[in-house]
Amino acid sequence: MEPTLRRPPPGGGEPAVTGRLQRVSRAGRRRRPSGEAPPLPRTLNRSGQLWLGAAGAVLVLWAAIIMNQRTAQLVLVNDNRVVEWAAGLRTELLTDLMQSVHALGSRWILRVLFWSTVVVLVVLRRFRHLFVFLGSTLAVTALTGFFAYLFVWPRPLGVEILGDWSGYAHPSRLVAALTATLMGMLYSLAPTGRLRRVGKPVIAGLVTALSVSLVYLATNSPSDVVIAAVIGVTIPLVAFRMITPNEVFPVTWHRGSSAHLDVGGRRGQAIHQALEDQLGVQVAEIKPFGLSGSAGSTPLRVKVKGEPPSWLFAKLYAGSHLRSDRWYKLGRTLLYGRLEDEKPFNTVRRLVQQEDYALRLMHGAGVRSPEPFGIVEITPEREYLVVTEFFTDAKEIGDLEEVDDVIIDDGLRIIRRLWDAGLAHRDIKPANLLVRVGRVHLIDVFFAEVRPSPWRQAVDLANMMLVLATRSSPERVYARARMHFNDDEIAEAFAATSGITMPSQLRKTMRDQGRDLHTEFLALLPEWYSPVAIQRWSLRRVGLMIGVVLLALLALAAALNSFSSAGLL
Amino acid sequence: MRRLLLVAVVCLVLAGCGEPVTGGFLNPRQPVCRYQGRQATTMVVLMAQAVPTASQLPCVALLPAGWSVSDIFVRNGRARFSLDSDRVGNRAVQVVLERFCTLGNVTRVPSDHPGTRRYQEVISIEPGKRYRGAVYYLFPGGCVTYRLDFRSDEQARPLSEVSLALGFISRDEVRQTVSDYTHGRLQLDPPSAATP
Repeated sequence: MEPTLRRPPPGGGEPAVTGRLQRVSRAGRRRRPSGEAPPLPRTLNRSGQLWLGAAGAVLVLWAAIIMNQRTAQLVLVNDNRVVEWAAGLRTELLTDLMQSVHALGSRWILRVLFWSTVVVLVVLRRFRHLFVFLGSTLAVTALTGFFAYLFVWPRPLGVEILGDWSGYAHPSRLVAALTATLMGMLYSLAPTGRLRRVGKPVIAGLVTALSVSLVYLATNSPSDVVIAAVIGVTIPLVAFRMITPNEVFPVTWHRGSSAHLDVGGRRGQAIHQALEDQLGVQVAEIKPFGLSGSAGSTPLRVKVKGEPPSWLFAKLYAGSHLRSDRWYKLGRTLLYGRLEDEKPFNTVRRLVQQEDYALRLMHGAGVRSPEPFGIVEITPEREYLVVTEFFTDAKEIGDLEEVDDVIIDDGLRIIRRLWDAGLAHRDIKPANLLVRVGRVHLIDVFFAEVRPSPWRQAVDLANMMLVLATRSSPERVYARARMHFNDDEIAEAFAATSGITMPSQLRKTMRDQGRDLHTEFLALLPEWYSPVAIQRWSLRRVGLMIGVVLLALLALAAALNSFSSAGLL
Repeated sequence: MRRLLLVAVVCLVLAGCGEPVTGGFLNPRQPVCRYQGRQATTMVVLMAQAVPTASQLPCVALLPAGWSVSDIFVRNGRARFSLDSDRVGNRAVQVVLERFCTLGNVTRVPSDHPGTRRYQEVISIEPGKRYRGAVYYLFPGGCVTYRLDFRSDEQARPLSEVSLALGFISRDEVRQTVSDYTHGRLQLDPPSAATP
């Protein structure tokens, strides 16, 4: 085909977007004025700010102790006064009671609390909460261990020590570990409401009881336990409120999916408001849609008020999706080398900009894909929606009994159009090919790439042929493909495609059908090309592999060391 | 990736790989006998608290070249540290302070530290390869064991280096240091504790 500067005519001279049954009514957009909070602001709440303030005061005190010996002596002397006073209250009965309370900080109680929380979170698949729990507990144990090593403070002086102890006194690692574990349990296991409200004073009571017993038994001074408690509360509290805010990641007791965000409650209201303000649509309902086919975002169907009501499709992207994208690209680089552009996105904003840009590019190139409606901001730099038209009455190609020649031609024409426009979709699979009014529509263009490698373009063709063949036959698809592509191009496509270059959904479909369509296609080709190697070795890849392994081992060793010295292992 | 690296570095530093510059009370972090003109360090104070009856406390007097202190662990009833050597191996000497010792097949020898009784035990000798033995110092209220494990054909030289490296500090000296440091406001032991 000759290159052209004009927008290519859609397949068969028909309009690119056919059969649009309804128009979405858009009016009353509103610009958020300066100073007004975004739809879903993230706040620490007053208690979080107070605890952060307390942690700041601890840091100031520590700095003073390190820089000025008199401050250290003052703290030691005043601490000891309290311990001596408490020792003056000792009776046999009270000592027995305090020894029993001291058991709250025993290694076995800590281990049981810590590991039971880990197990429950794994069973409930609350991995986000699990990582925050592990991370905040690790941060608390590492921080208190580091400062204990830094200060090297003795146990209370001049008083008989009655309790068991080990290591330096300040800050109390026992109190910090118990507080952090209990706080982590509360914020990862207790749903908001009565349970969490009751849990807070219970934790306060337990930590206070342990602290009083430690001071009474003279194993620690008041500053050791108070500072440890402040650290033990502040780090998990801030971590859970910032990373898993309850409005966004509510704690529930049913198994959840790690990739998909909750769109009810406060977040649902925020999405509702943001769509109305920023797109000017009157939202009637927002529902998750097609979650199983999407792992990289949370897809939603938005019902827009009107006569008759219309629909929009939206994909919610958050920081978790950005991190998933980064890990995915790092994994690809480790497994295959720099096969394609593996540069990760820096921010959620850039990620959604890419998707919106790809949508507009596809639409502009005449590929039958959803019309973009724009980006909606939920929480600045954290959460955005990419909104497109919703294909009503469309069916996934995999849900059809059979595809006819018109659909096969349509699918193949999409690939030809992508090739001509210098684009690759990079995720051709049944879930991303919708059939509506006898026409194939291409969705989920997030992975689209401009000026891709010839290998990637060839993979797109092979995957399209394989998808079409799952609902017809290789012979039929091959015969139709020869009308759009020459034999060399088809042979190249099947040389470029092997197991891992096929999306997992496509592989599963073929497996379920008990067919090896790739081999069946190869049997039809007049000539075979040597398989295209997808491993790209470079010094960078080797260095990255070694670096990742070393970092993982070091991080694991540091975490194990920290957990172990805090009695959690 | 950069953030990940930063987190890893911070974790490593916080987990104890970093060397802090200062502390608040009679540093350093090793059980040395003398530091900046004072007898004992916090570590020795902590060891004294671990075995409150001990009238003598083990400490590092002078580390010969090639030796270093490691594996310090103190809890109520027991304190321990090790000496690593670049010639006779890591944890060549493990120093343990306890209230009581269980003596094996020992021989009493003249003590090189006043106020202590010294016993020696040879556990095993693999000629030219390894020497394992123990030295016990008994004194009022406590006992210190040097567990020796030299992975070398040498015995005499490392043993003399160990004798040079390790010493004792009396509890009274530690008491005085604590009192001096806090201008008499704090004492190491409770007032009722009689000198053993």
